[in-house]
Amino acid sequence: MARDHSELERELDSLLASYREACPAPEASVGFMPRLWERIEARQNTSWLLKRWTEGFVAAAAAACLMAFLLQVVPDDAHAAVYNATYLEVLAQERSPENSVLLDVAAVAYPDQYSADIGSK
Amino acid sequence: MLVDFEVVRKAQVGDAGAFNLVVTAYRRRIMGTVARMIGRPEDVEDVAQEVFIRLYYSMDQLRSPEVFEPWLYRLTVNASLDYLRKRRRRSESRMADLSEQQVMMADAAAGTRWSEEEAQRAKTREMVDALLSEVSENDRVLLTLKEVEGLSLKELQSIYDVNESALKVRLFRARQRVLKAFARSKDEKAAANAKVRTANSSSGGK
Repeated sequence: MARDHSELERELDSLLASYREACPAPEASVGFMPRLWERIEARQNTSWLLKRWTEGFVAAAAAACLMAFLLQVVPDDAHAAVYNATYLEVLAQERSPENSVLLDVAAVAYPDQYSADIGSK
Repeated sequence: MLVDFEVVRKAQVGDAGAFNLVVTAYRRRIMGTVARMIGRPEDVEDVAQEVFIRLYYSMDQLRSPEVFEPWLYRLTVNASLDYLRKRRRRSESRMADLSEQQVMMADAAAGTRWSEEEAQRAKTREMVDALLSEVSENDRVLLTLKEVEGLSLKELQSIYDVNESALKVRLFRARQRVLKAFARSKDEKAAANAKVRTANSSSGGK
């Protein structure tokens, strides 16, 4: 059995060795080099195009990010008054002692308009 | 080295003339290695060109011209593996994928006369191709490099970038699988011959 195995190994070795002779290096065709350069250039064009597309996409994404950031950071003047104070702060300002005095004066000067207000107090 | 380090250095910085020199120097060797790894003469040139295209685009990654040859071998191994994987996926019924014997028969039918020597070579190619198809593409390439190309373990280490013991284990397992397939094919052949002999003797006796 062991002898069979080593014999088989030897046969396989000689088969693999003869495979090298059975597969000689083929001669390159005349068009090998021109075709090679054609393929290199074709791949170069494809990768150049891909690079340009990628660069464009990255630039657009960066611009969009910047725009979104600016929209978040820069305050909107039109709505600034509304959002500068909380509801409680505005309410407290309305009922401040200064305003109460002014309201009393107004009630004396214009009783028609402010009597209800004083009455409610 | 088939070219000077200086030529490799020039090719690395984009000198087309130097690159042409490198291709011309290594073309034959690469085509021979590819031919033995893929076993399809009609696709050798295409795969060899793919090797050189990959070389062109990866020259700048080469650390030093001293490691150029193992680098080129690695590219050859990768391109051949990619080809073998693609071929496995492809349909088997194409003319290009017919066995050597079928091609021989087709040629014979077309009136081509094969010399005795060429017929023997074709038989060897077909047999080794069938044996190597019993192992994975990776093992096929590894076995070819070791057993057919005659590369040393050290050279294989530099190509595969793995340690010697791991490489030895892989080689041993791959060889055992091929050996098993070889024993099986010999048994089948012996059984077929015995059948023919029995048939001949019974027809002769009548």
